[in-house]
Amino acid sequence: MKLGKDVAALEVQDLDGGERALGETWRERTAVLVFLRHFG
Amino acid sequence: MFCREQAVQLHRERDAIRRKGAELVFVGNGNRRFARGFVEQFAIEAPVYVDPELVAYRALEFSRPVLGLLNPKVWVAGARALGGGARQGTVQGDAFQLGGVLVVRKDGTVAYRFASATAGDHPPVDEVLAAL
Repeated sequence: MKLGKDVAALEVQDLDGGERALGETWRERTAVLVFLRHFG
Repeated sequence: MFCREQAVQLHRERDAIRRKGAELVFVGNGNRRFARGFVEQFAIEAPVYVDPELVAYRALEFSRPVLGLLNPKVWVAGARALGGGARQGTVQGDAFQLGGVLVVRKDGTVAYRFASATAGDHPPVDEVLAAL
């Protein structure tokens, strides 16, 4: 399975409020993406 | 509680993950204030992002079962997490949204995917590391 450009383009926010494309997380190296249920 | 358990377990392996040429990244569904608290409380050094609108969660098809917390497996996992030292904090995000783990290579290939079926349903850390 390969993630498409549409998924890579989805935006998440960094802790300073900046928008980042999700795909940036795996652009330079393999990413272990942990989607948390919540922060509590 | 479950999120803390998973985050701490994987964060302990951050150096091992980096040695394998990968980067650990957390995405949460709470707001940035909650995320900052998470980073400070657990001394998280990995990148942390937030997706309060659940856009990525939906696109990646992570479940959001409204009755998911009533599953008996959740209570078994709760006992395990408590036994491991985790404690329940205030829910800081969408209480019903479940998470998961993806290992994504540079070309976008998903080398590993785990979608939680219930709260507290996490992949074995060894399984994640083996995908790298």
